[in-house]
Amino acid sequence: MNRREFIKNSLLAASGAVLLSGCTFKSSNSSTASKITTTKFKNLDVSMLGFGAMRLPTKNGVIDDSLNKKMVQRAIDCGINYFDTAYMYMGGKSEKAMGDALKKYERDSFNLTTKMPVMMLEKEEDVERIFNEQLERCQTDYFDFYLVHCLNKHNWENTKKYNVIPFLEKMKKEGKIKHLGFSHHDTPELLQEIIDYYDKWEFVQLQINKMDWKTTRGEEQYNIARKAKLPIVVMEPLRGGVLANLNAQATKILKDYNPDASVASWAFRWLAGLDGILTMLSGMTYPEHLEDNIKTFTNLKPLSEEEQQVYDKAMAAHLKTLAIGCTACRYCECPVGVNIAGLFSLYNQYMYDDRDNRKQSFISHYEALKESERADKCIKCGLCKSKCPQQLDIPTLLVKVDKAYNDAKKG
Amino acid sequence: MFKNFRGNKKPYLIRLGLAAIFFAISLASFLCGFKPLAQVMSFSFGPALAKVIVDFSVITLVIVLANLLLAFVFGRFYCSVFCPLGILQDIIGAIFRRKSGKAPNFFYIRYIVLAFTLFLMAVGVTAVLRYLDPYSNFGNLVTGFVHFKNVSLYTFVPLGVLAVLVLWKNRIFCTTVCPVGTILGLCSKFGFYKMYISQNICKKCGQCEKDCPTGAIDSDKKLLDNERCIRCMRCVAKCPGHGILYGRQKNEIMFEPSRRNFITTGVVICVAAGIFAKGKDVAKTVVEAFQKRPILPPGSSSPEEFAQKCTNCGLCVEHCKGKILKKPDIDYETVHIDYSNSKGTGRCEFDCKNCSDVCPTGAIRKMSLEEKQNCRIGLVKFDRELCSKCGLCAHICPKGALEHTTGQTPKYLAAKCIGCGACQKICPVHAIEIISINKQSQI
Repeated sequence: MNRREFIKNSLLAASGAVLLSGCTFKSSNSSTASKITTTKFKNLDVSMLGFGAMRLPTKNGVIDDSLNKKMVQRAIDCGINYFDTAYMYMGGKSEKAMGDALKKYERDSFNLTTKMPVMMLEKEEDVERIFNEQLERCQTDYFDFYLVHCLNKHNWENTKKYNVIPFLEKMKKEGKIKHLGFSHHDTPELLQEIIDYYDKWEFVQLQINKMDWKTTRGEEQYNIARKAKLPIVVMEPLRGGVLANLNAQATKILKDYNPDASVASWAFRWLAGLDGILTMLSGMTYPEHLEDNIKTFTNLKPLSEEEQQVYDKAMAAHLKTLAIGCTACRYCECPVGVNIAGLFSLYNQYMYDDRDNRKQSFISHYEALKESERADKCIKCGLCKSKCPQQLDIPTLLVKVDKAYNDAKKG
Repeated sequence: MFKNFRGNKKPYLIRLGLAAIFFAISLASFLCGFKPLAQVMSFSFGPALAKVIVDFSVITLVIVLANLLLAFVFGRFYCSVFCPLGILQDIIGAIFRRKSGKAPNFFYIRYIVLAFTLFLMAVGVTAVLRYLDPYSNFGNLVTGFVHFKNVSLYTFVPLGVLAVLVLWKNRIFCTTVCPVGTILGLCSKFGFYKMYISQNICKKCGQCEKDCPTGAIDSDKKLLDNERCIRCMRCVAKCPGHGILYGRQKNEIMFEPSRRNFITTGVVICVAAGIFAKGKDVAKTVVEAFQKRPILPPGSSSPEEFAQKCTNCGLCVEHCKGKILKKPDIDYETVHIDYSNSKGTGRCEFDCKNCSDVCPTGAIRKMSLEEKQNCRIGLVKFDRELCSKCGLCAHICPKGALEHTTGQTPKYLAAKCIGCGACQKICPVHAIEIISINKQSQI
């Protein structure tokens, strides 16, 4: 045993360790299917179904990369070519996961979209730092579509204060951004102001769906975007899954009319009836979601007159019981760990549950949550309120959920 | 005292002197609250290695490399001069004066322990040092006895184990368990200057072998294992014929347990690496078993992360100005904040960042004072019904997170609050409680 042997041995051991941990198994599971309907955007054919990366599949609390890669493969095979991620999705892990999943495909075969998290900016240098970090995370040289993320009153102030638009314009000149737009979560008035402020927006991302159309002035926003001739990327087409899980009464109306169509497909087809839609983003957590959407978007047809009426009737039945308009985007990120989105979803289900055992069911689901995640752990600091894109008064609503639980317990 | 020492006593005395000095520094850095002294502890090899992984800085890397280089050139002086736990073992040995037999060479165990440690550290679980690193264990012992009130099993078990090991086979911990010793030993084994037995002078009297604390000498074969030799210099002092030499050896014969050992060890390391490829998941489940979420010192991110990094040496506990940092207890497995402690000022002092300055492992990140003052470690839970509307909290809050107009309940602005606990401490009616948060953030 001399020095040389020692080095040789340690190299051997190290390479052995790398080999052992680096083993990967490739899967070959690609089938061709008829392609998804597309729209024209400039010289691009963009798929009407966009792959949203805000609700990627998870396993033990982290992104399930292998399942995600399989789903991306399936999406690409079916002709989905619009992939939408953002700096802050999945606790900042989404961009990296999408970069990993997409790097094996030809770069010009898909459109990659991400967004500048203006809410996180603290100084002007942050803009460039974050942008470069995004390129690195996504493992790409450019973004096909790029948005200023989640513009509301506060974030729009940040955008102007830290000169975000001039920087992004510069990136566009350098070819690092192909098309520039913004996503919007505020009043129609602010939307108009943002559109008027800068005349080179190429598209806008809005929250449009059957439910927001009237209740949160979605129709007005849609009309403003149409008047400005901006193609619309639709976010929350199912309003965080709410429109895919209507209450029993509404579901029955839809199923009676067409037993084969999923509840979600009605929402997408309702949107397909609107002009000027560039793509609809759907965050698909399970392969079943993806398959159902592929079925809907292959030869996508708008709702017929008769179907419109059926859908209106079903929605009216559903809205009677809807309680909290949370879309489960989880931007609220409660610092003390209250599971806000989970609690609201439970509460909503409870409110439109019409079974006899609804109370027991609610209680058992509620008690399945960790104690630290429950509504009574809210300390009313209100940090969530300014982050909520739906402008919900979360602390007050949590009191309501807590009361519902205590009442249910009393019997 | 040295009547049996018939050799050259000078190196041994010098080494004892240096060891005494460094031991005194180590003790003082925990006990006297003088910050620059505590920062000397950052030179410890184990914590520095952890810090390179956890909170990288060039200085720390230099410290690690310097330690390795010193061991490579001169041998494991670290273990006999600098390492506080090593010296503590010598002290225990000296007190009990038990003649322990020759320490065996459990080379498999030490390589497996090392592979296990390095692997866990590579995946970010540097907290494994909590149980193995000599510096961290020493810190845990010292701080455990200082805070005698909250002394726990966690303090006595390591001390008991250590004492038993010392009484059994002297410094067996250093050659069998200690991963720091194993790394430095490997450097020393293939190093430059070595200890060796002169083939001409040696009469095989066996004096050196009898007294070697690590069992590194085989006097029959006139061989000295440089991997295990900690350069304590006892043998030099003992050898009546001045037959133990230090320097470059011509026609070097290496101490070799057997030729196959290294191949076997390579295989063992591979297998261990494979097994612990899932180590992080395991560590995570362990962490989740602790239900109660603690408030942590600023710069320690989330409880999950901190539990994987903190080695519980307790240096920060001793240097905390507000005396709010607490040793591990049944609630939480690492150092954490307890605002109900009544000894000190009971709050996280606004202008103090001692914990971040002294932490040798990087579990508490280095921060500027401004960063620390904007680091949120908790939030206020405010009981409006108890509130007596006195406004003291608004008066004491360093961030202006509480606003008070006479006769009204103060208004709480969470966006400005860092959870320093000043308000909780001053509130006369206990209407304020600081609540721990999932993850620290800059406000």
